[in-house]
Amino acid sequence: MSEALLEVKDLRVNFGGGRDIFLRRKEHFEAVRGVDLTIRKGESFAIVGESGAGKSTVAKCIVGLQKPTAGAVRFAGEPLRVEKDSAQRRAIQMVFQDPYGSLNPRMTVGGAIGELLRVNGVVADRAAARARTAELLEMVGLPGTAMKKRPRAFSGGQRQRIGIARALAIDPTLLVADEPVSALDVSIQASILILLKRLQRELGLTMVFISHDLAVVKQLCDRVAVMNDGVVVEEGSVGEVLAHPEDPYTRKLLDATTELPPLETTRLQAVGSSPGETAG
Amino acid sequence: MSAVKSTVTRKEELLSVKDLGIEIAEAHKPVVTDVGLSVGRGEVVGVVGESGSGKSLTLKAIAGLLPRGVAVSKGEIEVDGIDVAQASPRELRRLRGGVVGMVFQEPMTALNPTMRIGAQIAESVRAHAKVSKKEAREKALELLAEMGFKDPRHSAQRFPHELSGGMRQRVVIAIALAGEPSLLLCDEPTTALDATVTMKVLDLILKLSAERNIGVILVSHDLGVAARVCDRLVVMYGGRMVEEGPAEAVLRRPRHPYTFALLRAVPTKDSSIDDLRAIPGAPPAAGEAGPGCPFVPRCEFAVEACTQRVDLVPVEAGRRSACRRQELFPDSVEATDV
Repeated sequence: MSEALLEVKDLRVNFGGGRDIFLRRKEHFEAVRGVDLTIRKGESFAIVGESGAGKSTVAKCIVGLQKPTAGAVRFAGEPLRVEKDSAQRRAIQMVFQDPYGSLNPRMTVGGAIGELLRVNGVVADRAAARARTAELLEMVGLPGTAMKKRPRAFSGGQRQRIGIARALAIDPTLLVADEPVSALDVSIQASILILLKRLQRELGLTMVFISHDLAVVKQLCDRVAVMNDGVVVEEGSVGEVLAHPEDPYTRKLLDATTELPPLETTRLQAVGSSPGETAG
Repeated sequence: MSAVKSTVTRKEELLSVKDLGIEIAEAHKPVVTDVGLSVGRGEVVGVVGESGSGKSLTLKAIAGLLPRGVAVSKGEIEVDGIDVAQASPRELRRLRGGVVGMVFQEPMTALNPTMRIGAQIAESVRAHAKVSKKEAREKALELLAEMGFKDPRHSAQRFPHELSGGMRQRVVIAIALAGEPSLLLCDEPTTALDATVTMKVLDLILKLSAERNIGVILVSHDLGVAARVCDRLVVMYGGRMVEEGPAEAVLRRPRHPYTFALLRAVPTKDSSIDDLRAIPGAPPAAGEAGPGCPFVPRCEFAVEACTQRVDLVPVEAGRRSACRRQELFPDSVEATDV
């Protein structure tokens, strides 16, 4: 068993409180009510749940976008304090559901990623930045010419590839992906899942994958924590949880997960050249 | 409906769409081409496809609700004896709600945020039947109970914002049914909902189609959703129907490469990432598909002839496909042996 990279202990996040515009006391909303997680180096860990379960709030705490009300997050043995520690900030990167929101619409892709590389001291000069950007784009299946274009010139799937390239630019140790394929059409979704899987295998990334969809999690992750109503109701290896769900909520979620009758077109499959991951 | 369908015998026909073409009026860009479908009583027909496939526009055309600047350019849509494309505004009003009920993706925008839900349902009841306010209120309570609200009297007093997404969608369905329509059009009714809530709404739609013996068209991008509730499936791509048939048969033995590719791209709880296949390229932009099969640029089986006009033709009992290369597909006899 490899070492823990990220430890979340008794994490709690409350929203609300204070007073509204009529000075009435607002009720607290406990979005996360005591979550413990240990994410090991090199593994791909899923947090699954429906809206309001608290999964995205946990993700935000992990990347430092949300301050916990109580509890601790430790990264590589140190307390997480991304606002002070720039090394931690670099080590943890995020892929968002809507990559368009995380890209500057007025900058070319090459400009945006190049700036990121230079600011973080990954490269010495512009020429090196260009070379590294081209390498990153190739890694996510985009042509080098993408560098000269602005985000709006790309389709949803291509934008998500750029979002992934951006997150990987400064060699993070931990990648947190919040619903990275939920906004994409089915045919495009598959290509992004295949890309993420390849990156996991090639780069040995540790990944926290937030999703509402157990079928998607099944493709990408080793372990899964099922969240409902601010708590983890079940945790285990993806295979085990899908085959033998213990918690009634997990069973309900699993019942609602995509199921299709098996394809019987064996002959077609043999004829098909079976293209794997392709840009889309 | 007077015309007897030449295809298979089926339950009483409610909707018949023939050779439907829809275009962006000013640019004369076709966005839907040659769509023909029918729905009978008690039947749930799924129209599946990705964004830009023309599935939503087809549904809007049936309801006479095409957005400004987009118009039916060809073909006929007959709902319960009314030709939607030629109908007067008066006939259209009778049609909407009275014959055709509609459920859209985002329930919050379909509801009036300042009105209690009981009153909203009652208002729809009175729009279609000459009944007293009291009778309409009673009818609204009955509808809420039918939608699975445990305490209709209490729920009727709620405002939309006090309800969960699934409950809101049930209210929208109640409103859609207030005029006792015989055909229910659902455009991505569960897309904004959580998975477990989706299942409940789908169960409700199934129950309604059986108990009320109404026809349902369910437009969805989600094959899993369609697989759960549909009797028949229509697969659309690039503004055209590429395949049609009984749901189970289409999903098990697709007869169009697009359906086949789509099925291999969907992650399920039984699939593994190494079996997953992405579809290279991107769907054609609206109105940009050529005269031939719109899937050609992304199709691994395409040949020269595929760029010429193809029609949706019968390929086996109850099934039609718009792929020329039927020799690729195992025929039904062989397939049953598999």
